[in-house]
Amino acid sequence: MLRVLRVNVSTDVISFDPVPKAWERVAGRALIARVLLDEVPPECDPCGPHNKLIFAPGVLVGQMVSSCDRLSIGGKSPLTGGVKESNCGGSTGLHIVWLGLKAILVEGSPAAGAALRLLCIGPDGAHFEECSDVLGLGVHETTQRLRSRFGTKVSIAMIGPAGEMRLRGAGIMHLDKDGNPGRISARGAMGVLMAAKGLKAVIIDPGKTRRPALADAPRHNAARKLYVKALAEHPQTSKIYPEYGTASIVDMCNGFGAIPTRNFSNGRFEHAEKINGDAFHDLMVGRGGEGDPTHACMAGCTIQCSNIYADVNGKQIVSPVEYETIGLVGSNLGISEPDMIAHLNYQMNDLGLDTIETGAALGVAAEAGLMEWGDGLRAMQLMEEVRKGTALGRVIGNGAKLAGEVLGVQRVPVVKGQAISAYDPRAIKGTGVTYATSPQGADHTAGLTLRMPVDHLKPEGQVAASRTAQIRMAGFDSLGACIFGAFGFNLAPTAIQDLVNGQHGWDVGADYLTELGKATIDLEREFNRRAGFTPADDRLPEWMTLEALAPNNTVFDVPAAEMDAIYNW
Amino acid sequence: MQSTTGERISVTIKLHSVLRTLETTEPRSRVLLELAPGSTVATVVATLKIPEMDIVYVLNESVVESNALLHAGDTLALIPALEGGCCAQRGKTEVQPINTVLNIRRMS
Repeated sequence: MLRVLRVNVSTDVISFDPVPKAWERVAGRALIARVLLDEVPPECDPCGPHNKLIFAPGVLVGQMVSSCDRLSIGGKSPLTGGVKESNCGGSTGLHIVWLGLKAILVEGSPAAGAALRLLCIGPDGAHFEECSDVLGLGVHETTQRLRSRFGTKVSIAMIGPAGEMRLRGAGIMHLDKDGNPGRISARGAMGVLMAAKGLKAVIIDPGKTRRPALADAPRHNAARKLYVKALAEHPQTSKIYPEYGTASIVDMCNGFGAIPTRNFSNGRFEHAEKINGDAFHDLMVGRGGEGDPTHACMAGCTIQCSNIYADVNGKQIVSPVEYETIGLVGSNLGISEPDMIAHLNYQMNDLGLDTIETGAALGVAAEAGLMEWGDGLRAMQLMEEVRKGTALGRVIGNGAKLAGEVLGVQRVPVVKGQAISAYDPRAIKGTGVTYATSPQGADHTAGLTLRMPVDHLKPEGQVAASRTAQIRMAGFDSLGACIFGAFGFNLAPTAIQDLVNGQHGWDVGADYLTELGKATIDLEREFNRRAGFTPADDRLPEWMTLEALAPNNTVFDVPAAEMDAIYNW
Repeated sequence: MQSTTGERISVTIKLHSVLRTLETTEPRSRVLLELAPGSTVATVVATLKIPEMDIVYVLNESVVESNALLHAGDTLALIPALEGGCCAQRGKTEVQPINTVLNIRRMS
C-alpha cells in the first residue's frame, strides 16, 4: 500500500500518511496539480510556508519499463507564480516508488537563518541531517561527497549554488543510472523552492527494496513485451534517437527556420552544421574514450537517447548534451563550437541552472552588450559571475525576464516569466500556441508540434495541433512516461491501459491517456485562475507578433480568440 | 509526370544522421545526383532507396513536400525527422471527450 510522506520543515514533524481517496488514481504531473488545488493557497508566496515542494512519480514508475520511470517535481513556481511541474529522468522517481511512496510533500518554512539540510529517506523512515560540508559547492562536488557519505546506491535530488542563492533559473539536479548528476528538473525554479524549504538535497536510499508487486503480472508483462518490441522496431527509437539523440533536431529546426539564433533575432543559424547531430555524433565516436552517443538516463530504457560528450582526450565533459541546450546556449548566443557548448552546459549543471532559462538570459545579456555574439569565453565568465554571486551574475541567474528588465532589453523571449525553448514560435506556430496557453508557461515539453500535419508558418490549425500535443504531454507526464515512448505506445495501442491495469489492478479504458491529460490541464488552469492568471497571460510577448522572423519573415499571428478557446473541450 | 527527355539535371543531396550510412560504411554527407528533368524529391528518395521513414525535405533552404520539382543546381537536404511523438496520431487532431473515471472534475 503506497503512502504519502509529509515533511514539515517548520516543526520537523515527519509522517507517512495514507493516500487520500481523491489522490489514489492520479500521479505525476496530475497529482501535483491535485495537491496544489487541495492544499496550497493559490495566492501564496511561492517561497513562503504555505507553498509545498512536491515529488510525485508517475503512474507507471517503479517497474523499470523502458522510458517509464520519470519523476514530476512541482509546486507553485517562484519563476512563473503559477502551477509548476518539472519532469526528469534518472533514478530518483524509481527509488521513491520502491520505498512505497506515492509522493513526498515538503511543507512549511525553516527557521530564519537556518542552514540548509539534507532530507534522508530510506526503508526505515526519514530524517534530517546537517550538510555543512557541501553547502556552496557545485553539483558535481556535492555528488561525490554525498555518494561517499551515503553510498553509491542512493538517488540524490540536489540544488547547486544557484538554488542556494535562490536564483530563479535554478532547478533540481538528479543522478542518472551511472551516478552522474546530469538530469535536471529544470523548469520553473524548483531549485528555489527547495532552498526555501531549507533543503540542499534529498537522499533516497532504496536499501534492499525492489519493484513493487504487480496486481496482474501476466497482463503487465505481456504489455511490456509488446511495447518494448514496438520501440525496437520503430526507426526513430531503434536507430535515430540511440545514435544521434535530440541533437539531430538542430537540422530540422534550422530547416524550418525556427532555431533560436542571436536572441531569437533569426530562425536560421549559418553555422548549424557545426553543432548539429552529425557533428556531435562524429565527435563522440571519433574521440573515443568516455564519449558515447548512446546512453540511457534511466535504468531499463531501451531508447538510450542520452549521450556522453568527451573532450579531445576522450575525457567526459558533460552528459548529456541535448538539442534545447544546443539551441539556447549555442545558436542563440552565436556559438558554433560543440566543445564550448558542452563546457557551458557543464558549468550550468554544476551551478544547478536550467540551460534553457540561462541560455535565454545570456542571449538577452548579449543583446544588451554584455557579451559579443559567439564569444563563449565571455559566456563562461558570466557563469563565473553567477557562481560568485555578483550582482551581474544574479541578474543572469534569475532568468531571461529579470535580465531583460534590469538590462533594458525589449526582445525578451518569455511567457508567464519563463523562457521560450529552442523552437521559435513564429516558425513553429503550434508550439507557439503551447508556449502561450500552457499553464506551465513557455515550455516545449508541454506540447511540441514539430511533426504535426500542419503548415507551421500559417495560423490555421495551430490551436488544434497544440491542443492534441498538450493533452498527450500532460498524459505522459502523469504516467511518468518519456514522450519518446510514444513511438512504442502508438504501435502497441493497448499497452498503456494494460500496463496501468496490470500494475495497479485498476480498470482504465482505452481513452485513459486522453482523460488523464485533459483532467491534468483542467486542474492546472484552475490553480492558475485562482492565483490570478487571466487570458492576458496566455500570450506570446508582443514583439513576436510584430517583428518578422527571418528567413520565413513570419510573425506569430494565431488569433487570440482561438487560443482562448483551446481548452473548451 | 517525370520526363525522361531533355538534358539531365545535377542536384546536390545532403544526407543527415542515419541516412549518411545508407548502403555505405563510411558516412557520406553529400551525394551528387544526375536526374532526368521533371524529377521530384520523391525521385531522389526512390533513387537512393531511402527506407520508409519520416523525413523533412529542405530544398534550397525551404521545407517542401515529396512532390516538389527539382531543378539544376538545387540542393536538397534529407533530414530524418525527430520529435517527441506528440504527433504520432497523424491526421487526428482532436481527442475523445473526458469522463469521470479519474475522480477529477472541472472546477467551477
